[in-house]
Amino acid sequence: MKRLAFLLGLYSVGGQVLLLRELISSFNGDELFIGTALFGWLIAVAVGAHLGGKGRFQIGVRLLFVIGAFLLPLLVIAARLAPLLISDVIGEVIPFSTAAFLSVILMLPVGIISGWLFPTIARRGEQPTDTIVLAYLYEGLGAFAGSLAILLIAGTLLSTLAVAFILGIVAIAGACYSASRWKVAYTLISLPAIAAVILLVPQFDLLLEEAKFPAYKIEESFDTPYGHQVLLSRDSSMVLITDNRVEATYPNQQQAEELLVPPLLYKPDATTILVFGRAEFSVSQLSDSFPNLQITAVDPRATLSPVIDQVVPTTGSLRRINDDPVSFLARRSQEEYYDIIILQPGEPDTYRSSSLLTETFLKQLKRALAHDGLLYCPMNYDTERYISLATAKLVSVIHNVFQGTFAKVALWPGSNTPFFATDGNCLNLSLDTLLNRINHLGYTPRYLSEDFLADRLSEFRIERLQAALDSSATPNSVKRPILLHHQIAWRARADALEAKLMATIFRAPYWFLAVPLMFLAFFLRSVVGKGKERRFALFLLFVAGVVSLSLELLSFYLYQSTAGSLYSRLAILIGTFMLGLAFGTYSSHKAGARRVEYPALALLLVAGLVFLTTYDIVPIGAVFAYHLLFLFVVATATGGIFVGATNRFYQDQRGANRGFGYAFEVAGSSLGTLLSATILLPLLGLDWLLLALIALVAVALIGALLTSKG
Amino acid sequence: MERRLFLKCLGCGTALSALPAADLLPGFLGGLQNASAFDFADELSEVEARYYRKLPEGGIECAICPRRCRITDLERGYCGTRENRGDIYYTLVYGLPCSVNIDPIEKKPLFHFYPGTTAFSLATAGCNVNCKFCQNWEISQTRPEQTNNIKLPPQKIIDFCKEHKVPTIAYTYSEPIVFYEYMYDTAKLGRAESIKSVMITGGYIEKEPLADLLNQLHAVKVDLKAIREDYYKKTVDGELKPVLEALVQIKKSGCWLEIVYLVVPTLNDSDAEFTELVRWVKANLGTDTPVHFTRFHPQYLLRHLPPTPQQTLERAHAIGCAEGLEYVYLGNIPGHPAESTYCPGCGKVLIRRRGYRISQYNLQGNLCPYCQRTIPGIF
Repeated sequence: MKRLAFLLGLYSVGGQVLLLRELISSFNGDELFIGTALFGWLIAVAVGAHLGGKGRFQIGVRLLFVIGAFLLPLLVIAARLAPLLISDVIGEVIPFSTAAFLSVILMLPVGIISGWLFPTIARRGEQPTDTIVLAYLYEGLGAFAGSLAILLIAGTLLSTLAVAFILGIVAIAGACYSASRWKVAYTLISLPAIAAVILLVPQFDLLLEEAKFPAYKIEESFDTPYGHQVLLSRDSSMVLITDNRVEATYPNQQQAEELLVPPLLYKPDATTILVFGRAEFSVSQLSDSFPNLQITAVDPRATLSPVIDQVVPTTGSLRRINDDPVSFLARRSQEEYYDIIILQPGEPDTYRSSSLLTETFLKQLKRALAHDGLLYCPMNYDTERYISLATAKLVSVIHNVFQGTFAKVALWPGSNTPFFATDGNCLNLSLDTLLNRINHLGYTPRYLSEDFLADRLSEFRIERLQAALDSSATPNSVKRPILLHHQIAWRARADALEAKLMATIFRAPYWFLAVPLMFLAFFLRSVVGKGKERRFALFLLFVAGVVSLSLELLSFYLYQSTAGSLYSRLAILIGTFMLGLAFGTYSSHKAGARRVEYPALALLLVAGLVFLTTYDIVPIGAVFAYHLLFLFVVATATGGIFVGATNRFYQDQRGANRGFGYAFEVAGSSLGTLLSATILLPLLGLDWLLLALIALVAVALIGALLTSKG
Repeated sequence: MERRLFLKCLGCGTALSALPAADLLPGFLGGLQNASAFDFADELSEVEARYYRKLPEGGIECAICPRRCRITDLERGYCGTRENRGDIYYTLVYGLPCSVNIDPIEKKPLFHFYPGTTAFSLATAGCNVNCKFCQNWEISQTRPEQTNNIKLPPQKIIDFCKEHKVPTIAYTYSEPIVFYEYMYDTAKLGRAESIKSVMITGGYIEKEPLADLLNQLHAVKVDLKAIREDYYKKTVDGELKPVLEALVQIKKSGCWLEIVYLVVPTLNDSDAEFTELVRWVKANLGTDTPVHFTRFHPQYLLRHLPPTPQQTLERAHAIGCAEGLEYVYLGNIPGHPAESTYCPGCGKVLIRRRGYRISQYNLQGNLCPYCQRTIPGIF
């Protein structure tokens, strides 16, 4: 049983991560998409666990693993080709509602099998309490091993699809291994099968890319820990695709000019420039025209550089640093300053990109600016002919963030809207001076020529843009990342159904009242009447799911926003959480004490309170250790709650559905995934959300005491 | 605050002195500073539409565009700007533009129509197609109650243009056909006051309303999105055939016509399509019809496509020239030689352009000064 539970953890976490990676890549998923897809996954696990626990739906463990092993790679392929099924117009954005629906559908089969396996495995022991706890413990250990292995291999050594095939082989071999006389045979078959996958799947990956981009030549296709990359060529032009979205093209003089010329007009004497992003596709194209410029480019995707070097000529003046913007600024040499910093956050529809537009990040960034240095940040909002209310809102929020950090902020109208910010005086220029400077750049711009700029910066357009700015708009911040919602709502207007959906979620969040009411109703139903102790166990499991996953995601969010690349540390962070879960389960079960949920709930309560009061005062050097410790403690407490609640629910209940309690915990997790970090964080703000979660734990503790038999 | 400033800025024109038109239209520039202010509208208009018929079974059928929407009481057509109220069909955007700008005429682009001048450009919300690459989707794919609309009746536009010597009114950005009545009345008033009117359209319009409208217009630029019906169906949500018929009708009417073909990578950029297009233009509109191949920039629903490579546009240009079209231009590549106008007779440069700027103007009236060939257009 232990081996199968371990294998379940491995398969389950693998299936979840691989499918999610592929779906994010295919649909260019943002936070809301990830939350919804994970919600779908967890609900599927809960449904599977419930169904699998029923006596009349019994399927053998081996058969379930074999079905799951075949389904996983097929679903990864389906996820990769899904955009083609939805639209036959290449390059079309898939609406969120369609993408989310399809993602839930694609995650459903593997999720149900994962859930179904849990009670099927837990049924193998005599005592339900012991076997369930043991299954939970070994599943946690398997998930720990799986998350580490997959996050280290997928995207670095092998593609997502290759890992899915290998995981399938491991699942089949692992499930069938117990038949002792076949052990050698399984090993002999598995190893060449894995070797064949490693050799053949890259070719298959290329075939899939060709199906997705039929009009292009596929130069390269590979994964990085940050996403799926494809390099395409056509008509002497290179296109860099990141997660199914065009990130950059080469040659692209317009893109290069839009990035380099505007800040140089304000700071023509600049010599040092820091660019966040791939400079090879942008400013570097013009570096021959500006030989005095020393360009430093920061991008975390180290493996992308040699690929780009093969197709895009780079100049000697470009210095590349493989790092995340946040961690780069945190670790930067204090003697290094830049005259101009070019920040390209892209669409701020993820916490990763929107965290670059917070005062916290901008203050760090400001320390890297030379005296009278200029921050330049082009945003892709069209303010040329008309400024919609949604665009005005976004531009205002970003403007207010810059104004909170810099003494002077300017912005240009146009088909994109660039922001300029400084504490110096370089922005105090008339239009005539700017136009005059174009002629003295030493380079003649085509897309920012005198006539184009005169039209773009006409007083008419400048004033219209200024008039659209709302100084009272809440600025984006780490504590309240409001930009994400505005960006998602802005984008949603392109699709009628999505527009209605987003308006309901973000603009009129009255539905939100249903969440505390639901908890209250559940609580009241659990603490009164006969069998309340057993019934309250389900409430405990549900709350443990909601709170632990919410705190885990909030910890990830904070780490990413304050200390840097989540991707490079995600394996260790998730691994620590899984280890904590296993430790909490093991130690609570081993202790054998009754009412183990009391100390576990108390521990969770204290951990939440400490986190709430300390998360923003941790020194940058200690942030990683701080979050590791927090995740470990939360997971340990969760493991303890699971053991305590399982004891309550299954005590003397030999014939009970052994997936039922697990299903409640997973259902709680799904609610936490969908709501906490995705929707409630921007709506409530971090402090209020943490307080709400702490209050929920306190209520659970009170309920546990009230429903105790003594 | 927003309202006050917008009103103010609508009357501002000081920075327009930097426009390329400054060299060619000196009288225009100083005047805008004291322009009259406009006011925002709180309500939509209720002006009866011109082209519709009442259905015997109740409801009406819109006859302005080939979509022929059948609309029951209190419903709107596809464009969202026309509503059936008790079986009377009303336009809701009459005199209510949401976007007003003063643009160089080259920005439309119209290259053979008073080069170097400016146009008072306006649009209301709404459109009768849904192009997945729409540059103006925030206006075109919106209902009029969702935009800030300015009270701007036709007479006020004419007064403004007269006062500030703006020679042309451009009905543009979204699809002017959806504000047909407003456009028609403004153009008619303008014609009486010698103010020209140009329509920037997708050409998806019925014959009768187009025929009436052409009597008031001076030039039309048609966005021919593709030469394949399939593309119109999938990417435009419209039909090609009525657009081709409209092009022929416009050409026959004598109204000045230019065509823009937005080259979208992988969707309408094959050599076969370029050849098909230019051959159709040659056969049906004549070799003297200017065709602009313009560069696509990722927008709206096609944000996951790259911009058009220059080489693709040059391919289109080469095919256009090889097939015998006399005026083939490339758009959105400022500084490219194919932005300029050359005499088809002697090959000399007649109008040298760089972006919106005209750096050389050699035409004498409609004649090439070198070989005396007549150059089509309104100069």
